[in-house]
Amino acid sequence: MNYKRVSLIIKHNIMAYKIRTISVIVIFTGIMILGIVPNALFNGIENYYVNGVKSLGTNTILVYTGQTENFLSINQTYGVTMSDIPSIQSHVKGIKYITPYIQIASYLPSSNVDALILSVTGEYNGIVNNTLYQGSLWNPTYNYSADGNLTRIGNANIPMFGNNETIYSTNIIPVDIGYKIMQITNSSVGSIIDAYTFAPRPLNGILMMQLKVIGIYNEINIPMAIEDLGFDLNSMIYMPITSAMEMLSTNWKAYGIIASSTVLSESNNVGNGIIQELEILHPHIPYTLLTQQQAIDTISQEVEASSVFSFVLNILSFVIGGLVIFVLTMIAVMERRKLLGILKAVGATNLSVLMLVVGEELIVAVIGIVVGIISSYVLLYSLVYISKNTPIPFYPTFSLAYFRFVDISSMGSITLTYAIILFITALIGCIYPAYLAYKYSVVSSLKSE
Amino acid sequence: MLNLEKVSKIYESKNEKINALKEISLKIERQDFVAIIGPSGSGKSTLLHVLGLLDYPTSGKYFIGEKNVSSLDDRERAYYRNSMFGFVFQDFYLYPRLNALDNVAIPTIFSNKNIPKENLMNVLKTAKIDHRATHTPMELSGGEKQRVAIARALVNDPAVIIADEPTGNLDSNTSMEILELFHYLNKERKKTIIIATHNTSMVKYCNKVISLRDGIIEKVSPGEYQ
Repeated sequence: MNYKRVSLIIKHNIMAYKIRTISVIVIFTGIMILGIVPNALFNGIENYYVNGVKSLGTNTILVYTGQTENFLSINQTYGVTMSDIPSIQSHVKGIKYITPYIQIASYLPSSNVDALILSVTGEYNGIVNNTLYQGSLWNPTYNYSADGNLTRIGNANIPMFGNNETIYSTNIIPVDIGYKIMQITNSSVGSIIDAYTFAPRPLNGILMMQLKVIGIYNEINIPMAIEDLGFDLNSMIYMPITSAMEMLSTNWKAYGIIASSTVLSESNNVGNGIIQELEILHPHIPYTLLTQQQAIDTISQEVEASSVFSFVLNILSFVIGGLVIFVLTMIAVMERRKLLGILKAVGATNLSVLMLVVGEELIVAVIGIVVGIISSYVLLYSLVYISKNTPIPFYPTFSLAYFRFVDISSMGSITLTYAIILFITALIGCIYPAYLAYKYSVVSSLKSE
Repeated sequence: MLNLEKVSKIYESKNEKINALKEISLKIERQDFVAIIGPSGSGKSTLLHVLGLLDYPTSGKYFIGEKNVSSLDDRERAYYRNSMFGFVFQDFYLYPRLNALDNVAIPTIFSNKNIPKENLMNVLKTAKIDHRATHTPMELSGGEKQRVAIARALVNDPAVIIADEPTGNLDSNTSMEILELFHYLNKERKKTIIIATHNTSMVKYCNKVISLRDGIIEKVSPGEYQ
């Protein structure tokens, strides 16, 4: 075959049957989007959670209230108070650090301000006298004014620190800096587990706030750490550990405890020791122990369970893609039977005709796949951008805000996999109609209507 | 050049067998201009299909030169159709969205020749349709379409042109122009022309007239042009 001139026929058929061509491109684009975007989301969420748990260190122990193995499904079952922590520390040996577990899973950073409040103390920007102002663990709403005043107008459903209704200034540092501080202060009484995220996001005059687990710092080390990192201490707010302990012991209950053993091999013993101590303190509350690996496995299982829907959707979309190609190629072959007969009359072999039909369908399919990949990435970049730059809250159910966890740069292999699967699907879909074209005799094709 | 020996073609449907050709023996020499005439259903098209290797004979032998081509495989038959025969049909069978030049180029897809555009234009010129090279079939008259179809048949420089009712969809004046073109190709370009037709005026250009009836050659007579 003269492959240079084959394009004449293929171009003719692609242009002559525009609706079919556009249908395939649109459907394949949709299939690629359905494949790439949810996968990017689920992978991003999984990586975020897993990396968060990993960052706690290999000796991490999670003790939480209840007897479910899924620590992510705990819902407001409080079994730990702050006053439990000193008691555990004094009775259980081998604890490197210990801190209350609030809810790693749900209370995620919700804006690009991804930051943490270290603490609040003293008189600062109008806040008075050692009162830890404002803080809630879930979607309270605030009026936001141009001068930075915030007035709470919604109700928090989780215990708050303090009761002042006004914050005059937010003093925040990025989470990654918080983790560096955590590393520096690791030997202190407490350590940050997952930063409190203080994320003011103005939207139509309403500011949504979401906060995360606060770390408890050694009052001496924190200012040093902040200064070591090049921050101006005067622009920071922090609270002495004594104030935090006092405040939390009266106001705050947690879902459980996150701790770290000094030696990995002792993690189970430390965990069981914590449980025994908690059972003494709260005899009627059951507790469960989870190692870091078990926590990671649970996260993976949870995300995989969520991605089953995506998987089923993908399978369905591939089947639909194959059927679309099959039906449209079938129609194309039947409609063009006479023209295929002409090709054979002027010298095309049956195999050439088969290859022409397959080639034509695959070219259209590849266009659809490429358009699909481009559309998916444009959509992903847009969603990631929107999720990072607009005040979309993390509601307990699915939210666009989760797209901030998507790591687009890691999507190459998934994209390639979906492209290959869809290409093979298209090939399978068109092979039978192409075989029919192969089988048509010249005379019957020329006589066809 | 083309030699049929007791060639039969039987079409089988569910309940019946149709003997479209019955043990036909026929010789066509180089540069013959052959008209195959006969009533509808006499087997004219079937005979053309067998001669042009578009269809297999049910029995008998078919020689092109010394080679028995009765049972060639698809690839070899396609090669002969591409290089030795040019086909012209009553309904033109042009690709509707390709212009005349591109339609003419189609047979070159399946040959190993890389025929340049100038040569394609020359073929269109031979068929006297080069001035419409960039026009699609929708922009051409019936006669012009048939000239494009003839140019397409000529593009690989075949020895034999096989035409099935080439003037069937044309008015009488245009039909005469097309017949003149075939005559030119036969005399000046040394092509062997085999035409199945109802058009009796064709006879004056032919040197051989084959009358078919019920799948049998009723008569082979010399044409008016010798």
